[in-house]
Amino acid sequence: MNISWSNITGHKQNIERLKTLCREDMVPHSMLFFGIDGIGKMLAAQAMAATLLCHHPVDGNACGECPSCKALIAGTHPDFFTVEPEEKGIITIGSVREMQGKIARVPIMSKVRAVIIDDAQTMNDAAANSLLKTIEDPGGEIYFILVTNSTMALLETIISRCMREEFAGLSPEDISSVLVKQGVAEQQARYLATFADGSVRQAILLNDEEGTSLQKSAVEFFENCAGHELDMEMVWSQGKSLGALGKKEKDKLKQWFSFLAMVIRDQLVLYSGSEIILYNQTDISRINKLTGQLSQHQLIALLKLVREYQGRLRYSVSPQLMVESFIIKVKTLLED
Amino acid sequence: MAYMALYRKWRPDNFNNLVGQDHVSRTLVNAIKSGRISHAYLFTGPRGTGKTSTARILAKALNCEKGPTTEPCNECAACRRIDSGSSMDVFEIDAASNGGVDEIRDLRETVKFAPVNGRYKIYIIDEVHALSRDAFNALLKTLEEPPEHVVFIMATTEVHKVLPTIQSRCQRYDFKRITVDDIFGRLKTVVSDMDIQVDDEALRMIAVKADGGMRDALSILDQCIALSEHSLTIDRVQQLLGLVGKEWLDNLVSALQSRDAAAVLTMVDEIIRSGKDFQQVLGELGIHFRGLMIFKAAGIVDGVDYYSQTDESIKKQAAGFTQEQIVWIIRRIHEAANEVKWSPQPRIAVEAALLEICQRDILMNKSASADKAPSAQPVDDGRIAQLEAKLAHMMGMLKSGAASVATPKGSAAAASSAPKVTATVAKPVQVAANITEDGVELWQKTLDHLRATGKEQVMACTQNCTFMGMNDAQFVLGTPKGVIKGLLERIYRKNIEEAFGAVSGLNLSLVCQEVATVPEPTPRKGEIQEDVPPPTDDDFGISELQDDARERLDKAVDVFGDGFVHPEDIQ
Repeated sequence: MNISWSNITGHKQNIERLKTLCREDMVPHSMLFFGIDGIGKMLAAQAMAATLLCHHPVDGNACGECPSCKALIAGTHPDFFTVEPEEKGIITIGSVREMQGKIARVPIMSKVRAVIIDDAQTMNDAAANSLLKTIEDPGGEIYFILVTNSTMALLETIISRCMREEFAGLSPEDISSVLVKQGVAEQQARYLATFADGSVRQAILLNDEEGTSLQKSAVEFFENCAGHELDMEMVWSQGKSLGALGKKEKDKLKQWFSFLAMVIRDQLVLYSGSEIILYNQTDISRINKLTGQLSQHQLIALLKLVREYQGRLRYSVSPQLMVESFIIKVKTLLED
Repeated sequence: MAYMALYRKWRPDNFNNLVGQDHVSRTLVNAIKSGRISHAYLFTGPRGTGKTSTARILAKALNCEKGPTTEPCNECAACRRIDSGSSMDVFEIDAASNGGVDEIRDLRETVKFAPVNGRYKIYIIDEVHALSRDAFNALLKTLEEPPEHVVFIMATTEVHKVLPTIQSRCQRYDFKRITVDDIFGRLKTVVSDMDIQVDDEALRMIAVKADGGMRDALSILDQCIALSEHSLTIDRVQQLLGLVGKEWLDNLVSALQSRDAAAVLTMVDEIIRSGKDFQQVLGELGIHFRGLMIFKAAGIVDGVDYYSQTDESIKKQAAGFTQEQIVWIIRRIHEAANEVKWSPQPRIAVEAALLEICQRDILMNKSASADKAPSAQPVDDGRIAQLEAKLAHMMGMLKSGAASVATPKGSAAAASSAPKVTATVAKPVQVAANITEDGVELWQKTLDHLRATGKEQVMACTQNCTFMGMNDAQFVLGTPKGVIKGLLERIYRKNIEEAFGAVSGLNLSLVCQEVATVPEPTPRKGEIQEDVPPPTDDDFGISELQDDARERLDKAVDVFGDGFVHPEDIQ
């Protein structure tokens, strides 16, 4: 497990704030770390817990040498607990009760105990409710760090009991540096980072041939739209191939729609004349060629359609029917 | 002793400290004075409004050694025991963790014993909504007629989950959200006790952000104080809360007002880079427009905004939108805020919403007249614009000798529907048709220059254009039909002219001309196509037509296209 702040890329301000809290001994007993997936919230929570548990913290950092730090690295610290979703992807009242039972005892190795609740948004109602009193008035020296990607899914009463610490998305430069550290070639890392929307996890998901080919396929589809080359033949063939893909792995189909949204968004950016970075910055010449073939209103309407279907994809739908109806709608929209 | 969060330290300890719940505290105080203590209370209300605190105060008031009193002393052994949670007579039960029917059965067993050293045996059941159905039912009889010495106090945020049969056995007290002013006042007490310099503005911002919950307010204050030594300024709070800032909001609103999509997108990019949350951005924007709406409707600034607005600035902003537009914009912002919650690409959701707001005129009309084909409008506009362009171009050629180029009356009516396009087209276009080797080379260099300086967006537009020639004042680009021309002329003109100037050293202005089919880019020497001389007035006699005849002609052109054929050719 990570015990050091220095392993975290980006989030300079957040880290500085948290370290100050540790230094000044003003750490609140419950904290909520939130932000999108794959940006290092959990790493930060672990570093924070390590600092709190450390016997001789140095300037807001865990020392890395005391028994506590060593035990944390080895994953055997008796005063540190992590609550995670079970197989079904939810945190049940059982795991919360188990944790509550453990923390009722006196700390063994450190002066305090620390609990990290990862993916706190997955707690079901009972689990969340049973946590309320515990995080409001914990008996004794105990710190809770809740980590979540969605504050919307948490009870208001939980949020109100925690100090909120928000983590922003990473910059493309930060993402590519993380990817390079993980052994991705630099060129590829930069390419992935532009699509990742601030999340390293997203970038890693895209880092396979399938991701690249999906992106190509989405751009091609848009080229067809722009060139008014959609016909019913296309509807069936795309419906079949994308439908099969969606049936096998729904996430891939979602990605395809995401890529499509990115192309359309880039077109709109070009239209506006703004100079901000495009998603398809690395593939810009290809994108440029398409400019001006569709009017701005068509693009906005198209983007709206894509977003609508992204919304539908959250539910259980037949991928093939969905793709087909999508393409037909695009076709009607462009022919109008 | 570990650091104790402010909201624990500053829990109200008597009815006077209870902020913003006068209706509750007054009733309870009177009940205590007159000795009419009910055996069951149900406290409900949003988070952080003082339910648990009131329950504890009530417990102390009843069991204080000097009581029952309306002002518990907080000093006697009984009060202290209650504070530390070690009282034998006051049980604070977490219903969420002990919500089973078995726990309630145990509770029923202990109810009948007399209190140990107080007057009452008090059961505070917090988060009572989490009790299971069976547990609720097991409680019913006890709750209805408990022994004389027992008082139940139940607290919950979700009263709809409490059985009606339970509710009807209790005195129910509804706690209200605490107003901004009340929170502000309480925060002021807290900071004055801590000897910290704090701006009133900053406290106010915290009070607004707390959204009616005192606990939220205190934990935000806690966080802010922990990180800022001995003084707390409004900038610091703004930064810690992740607020986007008044300046940015004002700029965005004025960009939206002038429909400047480029500025809007750039500003969104900027705010994302600084790490702000989309929800927060949209939320603040929504609140801001709400302020405008209220100002427009009622003429007052009600101060729900995070930032104090001067009448002056809000007046200026409100003047830029109609009431109808503001309502539409707020609705669109809310849709986007909703979408951001689940969207895989929240950024695109935000950008799309803001772009749509920039295009509000057309989109609002569209939703107003649903029978109209959704995208018919832009197509019509485009066709009119193209037709206009041709006509104006023709007229320009015809009258190139005349002193003034008058737009023909017939098209003037149509022109009003697409003023921007006509305005650019109606300019006298002096076509310099001498394509020289030099010129083409210069243009190539200009393109290279654009590429080298990273003006990819400009490149995108010029890619489909072709160089048509230059003279001593202008250079001419042939653009494909549609929007490219407008883009070049309105947005990229400066970029291109600068680049051209940098390459050639000449200070020429750009002229765009729509051509039906763009010839292959940069024709080689010898393959240069001569410009087909446009049809002249004499060929068709258009300029001699009467107004009504011209209108008919326009219509005909609209329907059949503008492939004019000379009568002689038909024969």
